[in-house]
Amino acid sequence: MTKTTIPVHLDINGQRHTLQLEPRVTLLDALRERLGLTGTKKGCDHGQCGACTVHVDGERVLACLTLAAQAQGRAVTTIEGLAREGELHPVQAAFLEQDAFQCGYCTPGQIMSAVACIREGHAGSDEEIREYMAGNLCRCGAYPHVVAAVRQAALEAAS
Amino acid sequence: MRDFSYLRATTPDAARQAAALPGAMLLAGGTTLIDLAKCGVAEPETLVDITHLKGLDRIEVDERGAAIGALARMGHVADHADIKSRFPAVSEALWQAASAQIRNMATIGGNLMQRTRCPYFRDPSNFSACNKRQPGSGCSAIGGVTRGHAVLGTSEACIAMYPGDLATALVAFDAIVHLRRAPGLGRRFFPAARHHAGQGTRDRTRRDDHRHRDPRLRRRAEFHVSENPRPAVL
Repeated sequence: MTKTTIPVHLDINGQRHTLQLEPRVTLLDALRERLGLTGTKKGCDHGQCGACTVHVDGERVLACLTLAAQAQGRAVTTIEGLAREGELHPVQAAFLEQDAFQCGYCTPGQIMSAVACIREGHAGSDEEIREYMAGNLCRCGAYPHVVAAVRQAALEAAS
Repeated sequence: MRDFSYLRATTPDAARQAAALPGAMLLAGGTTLIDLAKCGVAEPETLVDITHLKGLDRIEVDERGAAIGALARMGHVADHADIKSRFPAVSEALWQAASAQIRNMATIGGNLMQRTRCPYFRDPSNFSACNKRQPGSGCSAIGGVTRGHAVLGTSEACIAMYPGDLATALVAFDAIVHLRRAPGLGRRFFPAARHHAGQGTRDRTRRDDHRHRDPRLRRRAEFHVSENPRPAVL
């Protein structure tokens, strides 16, 4: 059976890409398998773990439940697009300082989620951070340090 | 996931017409549909992407009530200042559901149309019997691991639970669902409570389960693209 593919134009981290894709290809698979942007992780692939969190038009979403074709015309930001001119994003720096990971597999999703969480204004207390970061699972259980990193980055952003 | 063709709708009427074709389904936030396509439960031939339609995501609150567009996303409704102050149960039902990422994707129309999270329903390769997937095939959940299944409103055909929180709040507020129909047919309204009536039939989650067979019920699916929200959804 011949596969029907469609041209998909994607704006990833400010760069425009044109891919020829089967319509069923998710944004996650397009990023990882076609564009080599493997920072975005595939965890459960069913929208339950948050490892694939990216920003679409500035909002955090799950790349595993987004078709690449749906992202056409939207601005996509991945973990690779956070640092500016070799300088870590403040949330990335806070995760390093607070040792907010163990194996690191969930970390790109945690960081993308944290950046959005702070921007949304949902990082006002530890309780609020836990609630609004609940879409990102960490199998190593590094949650207390994740909360500390988000708290630190939120305080820095406010000052 | 079986492949499908992808269509991006440019107007609500174009979406409605495309969705009426055999094997076609409307795609909004995708948090249910893409997931179920990966599970092999949904096997659409065509997905009609309605997320780029303009004007269907409005949230309007005035002294008469609130109107929420079918494409308004859960997170936006949850955070809307007037929804929070006037309809706190709606805001709370939304922000306490799912995750921030899902709430940024999932639409209100899709939320009302979401399918049950019954693990037997979601696993056709291991459990062929499911009256929701295949009416008359039986229920694998009955006699299986039933923790987390429904206690009220069950039947011998199905014990699946309604997966959402929003519908409960909408029913409490006597919300009205507005459907967009073909030109000339006018608008169609019905109470949210009717959409989710727990009648103990094959499918308690949605009453339009046989929409591919019954043209009268098929119209119900159209409220995916409903909504120029006027007379008050709440």
